[in-house]
Amino acid sequence: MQPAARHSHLLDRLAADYVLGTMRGGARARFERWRGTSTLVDELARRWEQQLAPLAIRLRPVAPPPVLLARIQRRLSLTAPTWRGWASGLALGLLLAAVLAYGPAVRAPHPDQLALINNGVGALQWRVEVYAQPARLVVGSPVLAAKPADRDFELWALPAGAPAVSLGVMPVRGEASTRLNAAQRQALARSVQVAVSVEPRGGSPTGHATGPVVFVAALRAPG
Amino acid sequence: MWVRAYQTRYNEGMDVDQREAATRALLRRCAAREPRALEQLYSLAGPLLFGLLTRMLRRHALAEEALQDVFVRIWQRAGQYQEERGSALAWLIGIARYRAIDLLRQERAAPVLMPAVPETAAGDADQEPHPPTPTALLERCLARLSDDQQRCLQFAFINGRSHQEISQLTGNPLGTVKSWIRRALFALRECLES
Repeated sequence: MQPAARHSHLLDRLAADYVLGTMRGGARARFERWRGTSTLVDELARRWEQQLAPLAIRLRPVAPPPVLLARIQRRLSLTAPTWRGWASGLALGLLLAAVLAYGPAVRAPHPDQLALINNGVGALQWRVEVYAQPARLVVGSPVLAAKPADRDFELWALPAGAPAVSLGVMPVRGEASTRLNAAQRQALARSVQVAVSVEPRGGSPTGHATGPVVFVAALRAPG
Repeated sequence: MWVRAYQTRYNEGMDVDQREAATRALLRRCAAREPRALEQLYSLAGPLLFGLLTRMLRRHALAEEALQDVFVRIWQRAGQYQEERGSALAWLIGIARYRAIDLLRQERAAPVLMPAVPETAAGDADQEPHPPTPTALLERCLARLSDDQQRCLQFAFINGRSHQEISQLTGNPLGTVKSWIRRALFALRECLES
C-alpha cells in the first residue's frame, strides 16, 4: 500500500471508531476538533454516519412524552409570544426564560430561602427568593444586568455532593417567577449557595453549565 | 414488514423517501426559525430518536433529558444541515448518538442491564420490495457477519459501549473484540457499496 493510501486508510479507521463511539476520551475530543478543520476527515466521518444510520433506524420507535416538547420550546424561548411581544414592546429586555413561568409573581409573605447576588461594583443585581408553599422561585433584578447580546444569565442551585441544577434563565431587569419542580425543590433544600453562569441565549443547551460562572451567592433563611 | 409498521404508527401515508423529504423540509423551516416546524419535526422524528436514546442510555429520565438536548441542538444547528451531503435522518441520528455518548461518558457507573442483542422492530427484510431500503439492505449485509461481529457492532453503535466494556460483556479478549468490530465495519461497507 502506498503511503498516501495507507494514510487515508488509517484516517478512515479513525473515522469509523469515532462514529461507532468506540473512540473515547482525549482521542475523541481531538478527532472532533480535527473534523471541524479538515474537509477530508469530516467527509470520512460523514460517510460512516450515513452508512451506519440504518442500524439506529431499525430500532423500535418509542413515543416520547408530549411534555418534553413544551420543555424544549421553553428552553428555546419559542413559547408565550404574547409575553415576548409585551416585553419587547416595553423594551425591558426581560428574559425569554427557558424555565421561568410568566405572569405576576404570587408571593407568600416571607420567602423560606433568600439569596442576594451583588454585581461587580457591590450593588444588588438579583434578589432570589424561594417559597416552599407553593413551591416557587421569584427573581428580581432592580438594575439592568450587563451581558453580551447573544448570551443569557442562568441561575443554578448548588446541592451538596451533587451536580448543579438549573433554576432558569435570569431576567436582566424586572421580576420573574416560576414554579419549582421536584428536582429543583430537592436541590434547593440541599443547597447553601446558588450560582449564575453565562450561557447561550435561552439557557444551557446541555442541562449543565457550559459558560463561566460569574456570580456565587449564599442561600440562606432570611433573618 | 417493519418499515410499513413504523410508517403506519408514526407517519401514516409516508414511504421512506417521503419521510426523508419531510424531514429535510422541516429542517429547512427550522433553519428559517419557524417554531411550528420544530413541533412537526418532534412528531415525525421524536419516536425514532427517543427509541434510540432509551436503548443507548437505558434510563428513561436520562433519555428524556438527552432528547431535550438533541432537539435544542437540532433547532440551533438546522442551518448547518446540507442536503447534498446525505440523509437528514442520518444527520439527526448523529446528533442524538453523540449526545448520548457524551452522557454515557459522564454516567459510567450506570448498571449494565440490557439484552444481548438490541431490540429491533419486527419484520422480515427478505420481503422488502426492490430496490431495498437502506435499512433492508443493511439487514442483509448484517446477516453476512458472524453472530459475534453483529453483537459487538451493536453493543458499540446502539449501546454506546467502549471496546473494553464489550470485552467484559461478551467475555472475549480485548484484541479479539477490536478485530471483530474493525472487520465487521469494513465488511459491512463493502457489502453496502457492492
